[in-house]
Amino acid sequence: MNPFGQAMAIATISFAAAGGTYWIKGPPVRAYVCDPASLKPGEICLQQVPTDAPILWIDARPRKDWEKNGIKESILWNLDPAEDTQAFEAEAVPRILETPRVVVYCTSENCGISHQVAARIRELGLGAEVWALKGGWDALRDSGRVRSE
Amino acid sequence: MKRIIGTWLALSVWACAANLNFKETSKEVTAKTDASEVNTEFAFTNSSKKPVTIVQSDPGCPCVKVQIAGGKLNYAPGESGVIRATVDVTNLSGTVDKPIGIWLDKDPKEKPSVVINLRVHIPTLVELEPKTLTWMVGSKPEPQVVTVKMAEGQSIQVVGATIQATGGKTKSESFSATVKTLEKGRLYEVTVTPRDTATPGIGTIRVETDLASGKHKFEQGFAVVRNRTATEKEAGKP
Repeated sequence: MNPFGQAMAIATISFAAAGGTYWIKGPPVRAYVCDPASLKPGEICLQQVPTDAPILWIDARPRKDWEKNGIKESILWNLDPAEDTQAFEAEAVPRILETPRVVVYCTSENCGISHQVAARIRELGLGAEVWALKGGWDALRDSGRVRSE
Repeated sequence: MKRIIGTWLALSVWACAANLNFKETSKEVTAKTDASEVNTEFAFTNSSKKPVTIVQSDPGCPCVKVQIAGGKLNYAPGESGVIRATVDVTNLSGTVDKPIGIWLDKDPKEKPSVVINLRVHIPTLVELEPKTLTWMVGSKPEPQVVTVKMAEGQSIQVVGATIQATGGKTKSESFSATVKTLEKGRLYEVTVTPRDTATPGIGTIRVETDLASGKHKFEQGFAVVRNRTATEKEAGKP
């Protein structure tokens, strides 16, 4: 067989194998998957968030994102220089005292703002359990808790 | 067949070759006291044998601005450049890490070729310790103290302290506050006393300094009368 024929044979076999895998296993899973073994201190996977008690969700993303598609009844607390941190604190304290289980989320897995906000909440010493959500808003979207639009 | 495999191998090497080498991928800086921003630079070189294009950077925070020196995005083999990162520390405190993703052409959307990290130490000009004074419901309404300490080398005076009711159920007179000077311009105590601890309540402690303006004109703490949380009850905390 000439080289072109050989190349076509290899390509045909490869595509057939790929197509068969797709047919049997289905499309690749693109949703965010959180591995509890990879959690850093203070982090939590969405599937681990307690369901037996109310949770106070805190959105650490930019205000326009929170207004567009933040979790319902979440409050905003970000580190945007244009925002008033003392106002965030003053709003959050009574809410945290009412609901002392707090999960902070930002945009995605690579965003560290949720950790910084979570650290500030712990420094308030309100006796609350505070976590940063691994995967952030992406994890919430992929689970159906929030919508992109 | 050997010619085809050889060609494929050569192409795969070529495809993996694009790269930017950073002199340092991690830097640590300390902000000046009461600075509003911190600037730093990361130098890099295209150490590969093919041109590289920077297509995107993502600092992950509105508080970080990233600029490529001269706006130059394309780098020929051997060419060098600089990435400048400016961190607005207005709302930051303590030590923060700011990772910055740098995407090159052909990088997948979810994985940048390079992540550079900037660790910033932000000194606290005026520190309240503790941030929150707590009385459990039913405990004795004894005075508690917030220490107000100024950063080393700074002389900032406390001119007064008030407590404002926070939340609908707290009356404005539920807490009282007095200020004591331990060392003028350096160290103060704010003593807070609840009127009673029969019911939960929250007061926002506002400590006024003699600074003309800025985020440290008023420092904020909290006075809280609350019930133990479920976790505290389980842990048997008093």
